[in-house]
Amino acid sequence: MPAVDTVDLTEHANHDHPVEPSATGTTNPRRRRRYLRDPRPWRSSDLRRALVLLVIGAVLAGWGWFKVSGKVRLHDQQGWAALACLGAAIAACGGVYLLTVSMREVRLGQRQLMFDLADVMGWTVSVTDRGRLRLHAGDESRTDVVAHAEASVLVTGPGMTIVHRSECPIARGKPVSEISAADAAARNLGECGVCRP
Amino acid sequence: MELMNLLRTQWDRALSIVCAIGGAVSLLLGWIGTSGTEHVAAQLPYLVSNGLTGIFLLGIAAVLWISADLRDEWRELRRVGTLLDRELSERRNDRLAEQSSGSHARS
Repeated sequence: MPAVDTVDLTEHANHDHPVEPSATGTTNPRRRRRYLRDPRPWRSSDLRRALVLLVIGAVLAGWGWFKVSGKVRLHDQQGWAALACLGAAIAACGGVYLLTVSMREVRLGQRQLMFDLADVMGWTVSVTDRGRLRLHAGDESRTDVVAHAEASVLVTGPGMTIVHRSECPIARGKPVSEISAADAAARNLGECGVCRP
Repeated sequence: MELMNLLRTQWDRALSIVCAIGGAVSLLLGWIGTSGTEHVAAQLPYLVSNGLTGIFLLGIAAVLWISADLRDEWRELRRVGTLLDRELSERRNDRLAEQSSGSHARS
């Protein structure tokens, strides 16, 4: 098996009787499944914002074009040409905004679907070291995860009020140091809700 | 008739192709216009009108095409999500039925 840094995120302990997806929990991405309700990945407010940017950009570009074509000297045209370019850039921002929002929603929907699929199939979900979700079918993958979880150590960092497992995606990239369970209890540190140390 | 159906269902991709063609034509016209004169002041209106319009239309085409792909992805999510939802509710109903039959048997 490839050595993948994983954190088990699936909450059901008994795999013979998988539980229904719960709509609670701060780390559970199943809280809002927009793909079941909304016909499009973007909200109407997102579309409105994008259209406002598009219209503002188009108006500025059109104004610049109108003014440039009315001047005969290059010196007089330069400012209006710059305005037209600014308008085109604003319009482009509108399109990029809409696509970014849509891609984010689709990605979130894919993650939510993975949790639902894991619930139906009785699989487990874990986070790889690159922050991606991974489904584990059957017990053999789960033993890998559990074995890895047992091998992990507790870490915390300056200013943190909770402890994480060393492979926790929340703690990744932060200046953390190892801490024993006794020290964590003595300092009254809470437990991370994602990696559940 | 099939073409009309295709246009109705894939209106965003059809519009994207139209915008892309319009953008390419606009850029071509701008190039023809600027190549016809040596004065920069005479070239700039072509650059702003045809050049920017062409880029604008090509950008719209790209946004429409990618958003169509995203909507397809969204529809697929919805389809699979609905199936999973149905499966989960069936299991829930089965479990409730088992519990109620168990309580009847005890009583």
